[in-house]
Amino acid sequence: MAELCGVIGIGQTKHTAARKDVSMPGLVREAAERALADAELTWKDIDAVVLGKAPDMFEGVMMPELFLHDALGGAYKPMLRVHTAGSVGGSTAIVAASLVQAGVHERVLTVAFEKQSESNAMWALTISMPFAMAVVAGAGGYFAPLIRGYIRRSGAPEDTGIRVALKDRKNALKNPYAHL
Amino acid sequence: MRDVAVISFAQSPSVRREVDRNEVEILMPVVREARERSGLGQDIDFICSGSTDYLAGQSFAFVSGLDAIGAWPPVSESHVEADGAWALYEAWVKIQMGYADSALVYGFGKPSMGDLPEVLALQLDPYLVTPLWPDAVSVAALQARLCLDAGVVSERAMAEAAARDRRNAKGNPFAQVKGDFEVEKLLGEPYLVSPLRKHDCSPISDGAAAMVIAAGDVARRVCKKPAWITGIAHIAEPQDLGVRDLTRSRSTEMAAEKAGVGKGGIDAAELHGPFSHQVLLLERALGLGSGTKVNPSGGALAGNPMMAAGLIRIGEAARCVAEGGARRAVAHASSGPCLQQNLVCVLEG
Repeated sequence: MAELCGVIGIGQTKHTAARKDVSMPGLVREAAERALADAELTWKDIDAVVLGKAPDMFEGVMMPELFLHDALGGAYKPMLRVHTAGSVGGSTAIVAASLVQAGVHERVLTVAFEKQSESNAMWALTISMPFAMAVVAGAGGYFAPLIRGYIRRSGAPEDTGIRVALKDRKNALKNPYAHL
Repeated sequence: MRDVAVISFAQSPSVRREVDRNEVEILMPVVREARERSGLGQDIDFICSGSTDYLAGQSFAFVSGLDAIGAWPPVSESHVEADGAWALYEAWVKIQMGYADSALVYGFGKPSMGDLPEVLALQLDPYLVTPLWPDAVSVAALQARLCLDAGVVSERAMAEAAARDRRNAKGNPFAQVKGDFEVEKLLGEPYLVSPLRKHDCSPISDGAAAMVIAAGDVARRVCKKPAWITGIAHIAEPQDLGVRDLTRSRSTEMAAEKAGVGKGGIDAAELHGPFSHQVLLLERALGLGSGTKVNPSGGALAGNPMMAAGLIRIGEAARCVAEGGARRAVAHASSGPCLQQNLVCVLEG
């Protein structure tokens, strides 16, 4: 029943701690333009835009897709905003693919972004609600106890994390977009 | 395209302030009611929700909403940072692609925890507009002024729309603002933000809504009177107030065209216009005539729980078809400042 759907173009920006040379619209447009060039398409060829990011407080803009829509060539086209936790990049691509697989659209532009330098991501993750435990630790503080518990239970060697980081960053030497 | 129908709908009463319940507690009875009425119970393939972090003032606030549905064992679900109406759209797409035969959709918001008109200033361009802190009522007032100057609405027509919607809401147990209001008296009231008076503005509402939709065979098996979604489409305009015509809703016109609104008569229409002049713009954009009962539930002017109000319009339109004798109804949902993004859904018996 579902239509086949393929990825026909990709684009990404150079990942870095702070892209101070571009605004949010500039950043998402840079990635989108590269994807369009890779696919040999123009803005006019796009039927709909799917934007993913999470959470809004990383940039301090409520539902930023509303003000970014125009920069993604989306004027008077359908736009969907995906917001899941930890999985938003993948979830966004799934929603975009669904639109093609369902036969609703033929060509969908999908963009996921973070511009954490606009705000303070550590702060954004540490706001605690009344009656909830305050962790005040950002993402690292949430994950560290889980990882420590996993290492203890599984008997993984103490240097597991170091080995993975070393392997990934050596691979990243071949990736012009890599941050570290 | 597969046949898809709304098979059940439930909502909480729209209230200015839920004092004793958090979002999950508002949501739980609503989700349970929608599941039970659907006849499917827990046997639902896909779940999609709509909400926004900035109402709770917390990152990933929607994750706690999952407590209301019970995500263990793991469920297939997704979330849109938009009104539940867009969650419905995503679920409809999942059914179209054959991934699911049934879906639970919900939307919820508790704006009473903050100052909503100020919070909505954070939706605007963060470099050029938000620093001016234009609150949502003032932004809507700019649009209303343009519409008045262009002669597409009048203050009297706006008051008449507000009085009509709130009179209709008398029959709606979930409505927040309802009753008989005299247009002359309303026009004698002072401006809140000129040219808007208090009656021109939707109330600030806490609330939640849930809906179950299902593909043809499933819907026919479990539901006596399914409300079939025969068209659904949405379009977004650029946000910048200076680059679009604010005296009409072009995106609603385009979505209505794609959803096939004009292919037949419309018995009832549920419009998500948070301000009275927007209700009038929407009536025009959808080409509604005297044969259409507009906002039989009272619409957003009678209750506007942020992130659920659009889904409620679709639920109310479905109810018109399933229970109210309407053969064909249209529902509309909106998002963003000055009707920036609009969704139109056609429902038939």
